[in-house]
Amino acid sequence: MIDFVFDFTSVDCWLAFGPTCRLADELRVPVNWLPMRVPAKAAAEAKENETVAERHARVRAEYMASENARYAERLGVPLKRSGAGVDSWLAAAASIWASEHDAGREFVGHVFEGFWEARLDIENAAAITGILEELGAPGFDLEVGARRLEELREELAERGAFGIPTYLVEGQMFMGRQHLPMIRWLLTGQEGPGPL
Amino acid sequence: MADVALHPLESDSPLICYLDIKSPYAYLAKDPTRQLERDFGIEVDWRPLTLNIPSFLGSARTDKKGKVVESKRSPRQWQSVRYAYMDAKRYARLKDILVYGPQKIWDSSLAGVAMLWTKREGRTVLARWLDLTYERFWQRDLDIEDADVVAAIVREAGGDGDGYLAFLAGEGREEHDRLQAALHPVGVFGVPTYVIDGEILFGREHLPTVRWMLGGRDGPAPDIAYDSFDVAVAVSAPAETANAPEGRARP
Repeated sequence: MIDFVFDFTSVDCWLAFGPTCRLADELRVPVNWLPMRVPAKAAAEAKENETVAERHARVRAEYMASENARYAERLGVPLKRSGAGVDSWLAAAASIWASEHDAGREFVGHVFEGFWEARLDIENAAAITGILEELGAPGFDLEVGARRLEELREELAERGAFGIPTYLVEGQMFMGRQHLPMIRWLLTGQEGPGPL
Repeated sequence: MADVALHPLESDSPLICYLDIKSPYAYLAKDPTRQLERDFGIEVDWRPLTLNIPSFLGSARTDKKGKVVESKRSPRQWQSVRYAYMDAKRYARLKDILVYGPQKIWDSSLAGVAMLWTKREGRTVLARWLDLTYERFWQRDLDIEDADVVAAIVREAGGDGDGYLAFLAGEGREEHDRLQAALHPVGVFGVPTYVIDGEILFGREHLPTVRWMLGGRDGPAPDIAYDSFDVAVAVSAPAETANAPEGRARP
């Protein structure tokens, strides 16, 4: 089992989605789709009297945006919008509902793709419930969804998750898709030298 | 030798690698990066980047048992720091690299100057100095804030320790500081950072991409990954379990 902690508004999570599915398919291991809301930040701009900390954060954010764009192109995934300022609460709660109806991966994939292609408003209840219904998960109850999401938030906090994307595998926590070779190594018997 | 501070993204070598002795991630990157030199018959241009950790991860000090005795960190910063060291240690453990969490945030600038100095003394001295310094520092067996201690390691690596001290007192310190000031403006902020064809790649997860670029970009470009690495590493005993250290997370 791969527990995958994600937020729809995170570019890193979107870039991790495909490679995660491919690894799961290859190893025939199920994925537990676990939404956790981590609001995306807007890009900072250089300003006068910038502190070292502010400059470091800005330079790092600029680099990460550039890196994500580079790898999105290589992976062939669209990045047609920013995740900043978007509330992923509704889609997150709906993803739990979808998982409970055996449609977790399909729902997560639909929403990620629609959001990053800038054709899906994930704050729109009609759009989200429409996807659930298409995938055979009708009757989404907002109150139940809110409760489930809060319960999951508490569970993930207890398990130590604090950033995204996070993988919880074999009792270990990994942040970022760069760990997929290590996760593969763990799930295939830890043979050979392992990744570095 | 060219003044690297004037050209932080340029080199006569096909690959620049920025390192900091106090980063466990840079330590983990050292040997697989060196492997690129052997595989492609190149010479990596190793350069120091002295991290200002308190500026992005706060600061803290622990006692010998790992108990926090002073902290200027937010809970989120502590989570990032603890995760980073746990993460670095688990990869280090696979290669029998010993990584003890530091008990404070070190000023690694003297070591950064030593890196510049040993470069001038030749690749063998630099390589030996990097091996000795990383291994002993992460075993908590090296005070990198003591210039005489750093000079002794330079000598042990086959270099001129007195020359290092003179370099540190003048040109070396100046060059180091100018280089550090030049890095943020060109987009370099952490370690390990690779610069190849003017492109900046932060983190050892880009080694597959670096390898692909050095190899002529044949085939599809790889994604980020902590790649396999099966070359023997000259190190010591198995790693211990973590206590609270400083580091770099990728949250």
